[in-house]
Amino acid sequence: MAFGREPAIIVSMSDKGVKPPYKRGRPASPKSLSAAKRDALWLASIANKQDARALSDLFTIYGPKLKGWLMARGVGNGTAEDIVQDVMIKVWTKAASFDPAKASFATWVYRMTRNRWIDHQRKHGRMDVRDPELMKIIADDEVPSAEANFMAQQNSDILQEQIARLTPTQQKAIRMAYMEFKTHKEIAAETGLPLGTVKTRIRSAIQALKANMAKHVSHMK
Amino acid sequence: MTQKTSHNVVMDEDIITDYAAGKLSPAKHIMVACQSEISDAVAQRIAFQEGLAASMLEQGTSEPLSPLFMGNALAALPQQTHNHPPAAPAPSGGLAPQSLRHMLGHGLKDMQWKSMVPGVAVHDVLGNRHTKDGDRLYLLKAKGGMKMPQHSHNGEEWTLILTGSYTTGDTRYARGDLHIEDETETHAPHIDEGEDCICLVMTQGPLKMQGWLPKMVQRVVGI
Repeated sequence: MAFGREPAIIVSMSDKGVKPPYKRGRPASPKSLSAAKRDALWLASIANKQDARALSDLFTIYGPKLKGWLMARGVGNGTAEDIVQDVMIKVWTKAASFDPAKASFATWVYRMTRNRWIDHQRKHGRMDVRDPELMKIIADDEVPSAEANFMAQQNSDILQEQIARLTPTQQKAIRMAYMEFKTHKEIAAETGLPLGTVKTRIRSAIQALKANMAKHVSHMK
Repeated sequence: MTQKTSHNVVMDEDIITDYAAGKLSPAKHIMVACQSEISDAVAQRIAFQEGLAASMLEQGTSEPLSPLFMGNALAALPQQTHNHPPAAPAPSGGLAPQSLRHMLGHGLKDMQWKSMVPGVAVHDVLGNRHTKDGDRLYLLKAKGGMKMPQHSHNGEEWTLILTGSYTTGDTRYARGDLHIEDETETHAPHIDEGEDCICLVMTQGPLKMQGWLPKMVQRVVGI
């Protein structure tokens, strides 16, 4: 089966397009901005003052979430904590290279955790790694950030709001795509939906979200 | 089925989603990471979805860290390397994406190629081309003008073009293009004249060669 290659079957779904982003609910909360700012300040403090307290504050917040993300993927308790600790060390040593203009700390630390997890699978999966040097790292953290302008504005809370504005079906699709460690095929088997429908749903939910975000950002300018 | 895969346009959104969510196999993950280094368009799409995946952490279940975690982790912190500006940028002009360079420890120029047949050489990156299952990742170098044997696959074959180009059917694949084929497709890529074509290739299961000579060669060299 081609990886996402079959013709996109347009299937009837309860999604009736994208909801207008600003009809109801709160305006973008300033709280969100402060979470990102707070993280950036902690990062700066780690980079400039070797502030271990700031690191511990960051991981008091993010540690349990990252551990939860890993364990939802079937990683055992001990291994999950090992991975989180590796990431924590990385944040400590690489704090100076964190650029809040490129991505939020949440995104940065998520990416590191995900890459560590992939790395872990590479080492412990069936794959025969030839050279221990290879184990060093996968893409690691510095995925080149050619983010468009609006990416800099992106932060978790604005996204959360935009997600909350999607239809329930779209929200469910996004949750399936990111929260559950299942392939599209497994999701299809579980929900009884054709594979094409699963893909279309996830894709259209992401598109809707992108459109909302773009509107939101142009709104802010 | 061929499909135009100009890297600025085509890469399936599903793959980007799975990449962002950490659902791709390690070999595929590396390939997409490499492609995103070459293609800004792909990098942007990934960045968006990574932001999204990260923000979904908020909705996920938290697992409390064990009581001793923080103390142990803080005690184990290494010396900070002082305020270095972001790590030295990749040697510019290098053709190997940073993600690949990390794995190899060097760039494409210093490769130790293993010649398979005249004009074709390989270098294993991950896994073993001789094993029967699992994803395998290797670099393949073919001389300009060569015609590769007709083959299909037992599983998927992903090819990321790093240098040179090749044509199969009426589609031309060049640097940054990620060419994905599955077991239903048979193709015989024709390397375009000129530059050597170096690709990062991921295959699942042995290729199925058509014709007795390629089959023989395959037995010997084990693609």
